[in-house]
Amino acid sequence: MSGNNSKRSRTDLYAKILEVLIRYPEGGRITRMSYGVGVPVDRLRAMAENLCSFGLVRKLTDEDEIYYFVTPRGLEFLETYRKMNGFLAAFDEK
Amino acid sequence: MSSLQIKSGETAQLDHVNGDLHVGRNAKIKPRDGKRVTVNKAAVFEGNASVEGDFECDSLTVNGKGTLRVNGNLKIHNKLDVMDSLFAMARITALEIDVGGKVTAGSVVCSRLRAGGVVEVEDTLEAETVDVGRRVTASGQVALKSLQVGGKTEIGGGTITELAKMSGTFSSSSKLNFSELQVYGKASLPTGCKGQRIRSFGRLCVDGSITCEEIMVEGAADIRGDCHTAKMEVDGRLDVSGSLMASNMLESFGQTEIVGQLQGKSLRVGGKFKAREVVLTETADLMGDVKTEDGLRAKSLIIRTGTRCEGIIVGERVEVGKSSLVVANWATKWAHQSISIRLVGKMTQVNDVYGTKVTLGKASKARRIFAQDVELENGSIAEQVTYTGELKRSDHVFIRLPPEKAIKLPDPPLKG
Repeated sequence: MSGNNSKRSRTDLYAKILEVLIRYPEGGRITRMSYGVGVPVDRLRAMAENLCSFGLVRKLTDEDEIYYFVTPRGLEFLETYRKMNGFLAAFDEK
Repeated sequence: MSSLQIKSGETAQLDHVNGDLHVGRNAKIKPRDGKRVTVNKAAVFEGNASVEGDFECDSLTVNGKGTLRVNGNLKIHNKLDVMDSLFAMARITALEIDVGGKVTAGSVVCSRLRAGGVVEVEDTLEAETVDVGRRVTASGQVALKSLQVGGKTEIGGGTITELAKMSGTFSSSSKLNFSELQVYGKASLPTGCKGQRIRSFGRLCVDGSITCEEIMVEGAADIRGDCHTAKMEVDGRLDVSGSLMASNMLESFGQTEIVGQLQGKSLRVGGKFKAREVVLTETADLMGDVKTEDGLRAKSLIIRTGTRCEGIIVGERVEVGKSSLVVANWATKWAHQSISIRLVGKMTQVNDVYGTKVTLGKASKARRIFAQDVELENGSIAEQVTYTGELKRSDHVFIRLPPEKAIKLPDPPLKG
């Protein structure tokens, strides 16, 4: 169960990162994103690299600045995540 | 014009700055007149800083980590760009607001507001576009063109004239007039809201009555009052505590319960449906388990194979148990497919039927039939048949009482 909980919270965090990142179609920079997501820069950088390796995010370097962009696969993940939350809300009787 | 530099940690008393203003970290700015500081060009802050009054400038940038606190009104003629967080005790007015982390204000008036993290507004929020990554809380009224939030949204009512798209939960504590609401998760609205379109993927809760041209729910909808709509489509569960007026169509797949009356043009049911009374001007297409206390009236009724219908049925043309296949996009709905499978081989059952032309298909059973023309196909069963025109019956039909040809039929108990 605790393994499942950590997987769930990691998924929530990935979704949160993508939700923040899609606000920056011109490319998100890591420091600014860290204030939006609410996690320290070094931890966010590691997670952003994971998202890149999963194909949900891509990065571009321009004059020593790294910009992150959500990929179509990342949008697909976000849509699925939102729908899953929708299902969970529907099951909730309150 | 020159620029004025305030060093880190310094406290400066200012009134009007003719040029740019550069402020170091942890600096404090106090208005010389106790009220306001104005900068006629750009104000640039390196991080944490505070302004002890109103502040006005052409553009404002906060480059580093920390919070800019303005203990008064903040008025920016062009762009307000904050890397981390911004706190304004009173009103923020700007053309464009871009904050990486959190915005907290008494009220906000701007053209465009973008925040990566959180927006918290104590009073009114007025903007053309609001785009926030995690959460929006606006306790007062909102006046927006479009709203997009990646997480939770709580507002105190108002108006949203274009699209409001929330990826998480949404709630309005007061009446909201809207164009289109798209919510993933739980959407909670108070009574009296009016809009063009709701698309809810999750749970829609209305604490009273609602008027909305088009309502599409995938999941569950709970309306604790009356619902006025043109078209409503529910794939899941629908509960209406009052009455439902659907001037065009209600399509319900899953489970629907309407405490009051359903009034409208057409109805399509796949699954369980219960209402006190149903009065339609056009077609009812029913599949599943349908119950009405005071009856169901439509111009044309199609009761599909395997359907069980309790309550009186009144129509010009009534077909019972003749069709099992459906057309168009019905077949794509998962609820319909599972219902179809469950109804295969089951008898179609109805109670009393009043009509102009009534047809009972194979393996169909009716209690009493009162119609001008009646057609009973092979394998159909009726308790009693009273007709004024023609009775056609196949060989293997069972009618418990001898059919009666009458001059006049009794009035159906439902009035149109």
